[in-house]
Amino acid sequence: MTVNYPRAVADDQQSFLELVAILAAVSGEGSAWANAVTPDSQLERDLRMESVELAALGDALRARYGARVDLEAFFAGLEIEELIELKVADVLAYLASRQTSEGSTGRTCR
Amino acid sequence: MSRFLFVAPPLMGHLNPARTVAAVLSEQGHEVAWAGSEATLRPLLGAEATIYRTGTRIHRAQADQGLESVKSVWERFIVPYTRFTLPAVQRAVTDYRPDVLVSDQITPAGALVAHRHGLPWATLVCSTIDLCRPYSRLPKVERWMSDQLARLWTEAGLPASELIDVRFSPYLVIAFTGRELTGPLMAPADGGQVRLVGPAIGQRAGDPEFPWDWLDPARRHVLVTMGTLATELAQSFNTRAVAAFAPMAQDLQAIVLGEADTVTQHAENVLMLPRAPVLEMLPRMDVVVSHGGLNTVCESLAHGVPLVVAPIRHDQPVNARQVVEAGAGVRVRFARVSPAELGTAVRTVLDDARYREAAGRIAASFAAAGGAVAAAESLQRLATTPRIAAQIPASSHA
Repeated sequence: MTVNYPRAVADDQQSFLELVAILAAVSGEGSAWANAVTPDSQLERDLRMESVELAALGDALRARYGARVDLEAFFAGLEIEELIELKVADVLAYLASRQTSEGSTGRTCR
Repeated sequence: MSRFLFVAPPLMGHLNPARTVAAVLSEQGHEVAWAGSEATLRPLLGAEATIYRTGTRIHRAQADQGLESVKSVWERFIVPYTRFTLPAVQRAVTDYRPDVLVSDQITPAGALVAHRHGLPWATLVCSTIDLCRPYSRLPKVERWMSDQLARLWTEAGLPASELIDVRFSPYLVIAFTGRELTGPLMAPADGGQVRLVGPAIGQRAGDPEFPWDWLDPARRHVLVTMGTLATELAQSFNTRAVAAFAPMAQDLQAIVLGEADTVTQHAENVLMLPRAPVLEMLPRMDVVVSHGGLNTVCESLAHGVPLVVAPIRHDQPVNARQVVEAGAGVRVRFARVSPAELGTAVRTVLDDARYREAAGRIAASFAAAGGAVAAAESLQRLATTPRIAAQIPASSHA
C-alpha cells in the first residue's frame, strides 16, 4: 500500500510553517503564539512544551508524515543537554532525514 | 533498643515523613539522631533532638521546568550537597555509632558513608522520580544520572568494584506511596527489599489558623495548593484558578494558597491565604487542585479526596500520570491551562462519583499499608536481623 505523506524539508519555509501549525495545535495555542515561533525556538525553554504535549507532538507528526517518523526514538538517541536545548529547526531536520526524496518509497535516509 | 541515624535534606516534603517515622521509633524506645542542617531541623525537632550539623548550604535557584529542572536538581543540589555534607555525615557515624543509617534518596552522602562502614542502611523515598523511572525511554538521560552517582562514589574513595546504585539500598527501601497509586514498578524499584508504606502523616508543628466559619456547608469546596514555588508561572496559575472558580459561586467555594496580592480580582467564593492547615482541611474538601507533589497527592488521597493535577517539574508529571491511571483525578497542563479548562476539570471530578470512589479505594490501601508504623517496623527488623543485602547492579538503569 502506498500512502503519499507530505514531505518536510529542512530550511524550507513551507515545511517550517507546517511544523509550527502542528506545534500550536498540540499546545492548544493560537496564531499570536505561532507567529512568535522561530526555527531557533527551544521546545522546552521557549515554547514550554510539557511531556504530555511532546507525546501528542509525536503522535501528530507520525499521523502527518508517516510511520517512519518516530519522535520517541529520536529523543532516545539524545543526551540530556541536547534534549534541553532542542530547537524547532532540529525537529524539522529530523523530519527531513526520516523521509525519502521520492515520497514513501521506503529508501533509508539515515 | 537500637540506634538510628537519619540523613535528611533541608526540605519540608522530605523531613515531614522522616520525622514521623523517627517519632514512632522514639516512642518505641529506640534512639534517633539526625545529620543535616541544624537551622532547618532544630525548629522541627525541638531542643532535645540530637543533631549532627552538616551546615546549611545556600542553593542556587533551580530551573522551573522539564529536563532542565532535572539537570539542575542534580547539578545544583544532589551532587554539591553530597560533597558538602559527606565529612559531617562521616563524623556523625563515627561518633554516634548507629545500628542502622536511614538515608533520604536525594542525599546519597548517607548511603556512601554507610557502605564505607559496612553499616546496614535504608533508603527513604519521598519523591517518585527515581522510583518510577520516568526517563526509561531516554537512555542517555538515565546514564547521565548514573554517571553523576558513580562520580560521587569514586570521590568518596569507595572501590569501583563495589559500585551500587545508591538511590536504592540493597537492605531496605521505604517509599511513602502505595502500589494502588504507582502501579507496577520497574527494576530496581520492584525488588524484594522495597516497601511501599503509603504516606507517613504526622503532627505538623506551627500550622496556621483557618477561618472555619467561612466554609459554607451548602457548597462544595476546592483547595488549590501549587506548592511553595514562587514563580510568576505559579502566580499566573492561581490567577487563572480564581477566574475559573468565580463563576461557580453558586455551589463552590475555593481556598487558594498563595500570596493574596498576586491576584487582584477576588471573588466572594474565593479565599486566598499564604498558608493553611491543609491536613485539618482535607476532610472537608471535595477536590484538591495541586502541582502534584507526592506529599500533597498522597495526603489528599489518604483522605479520599480526588485531584486535579497540574504538574510543573521533578516527579510531578509522574504523580499526575499515576493519579489519572488510578482513576482518582484528572490532569491539566500547568503553563497553558485556561480558566475554562480548569473549571471543566474541577467540575468533572466533582460531578463524577467514580473519582471519589477511586480516591477512597486508595485511601483504604494506604491505611492498610501502615504508613510510619510499618516503616518503623521495617527499620527495627533491619537493626535486629542478620543482614543480607539484595544484589543490585550499579547500572540498574542501563
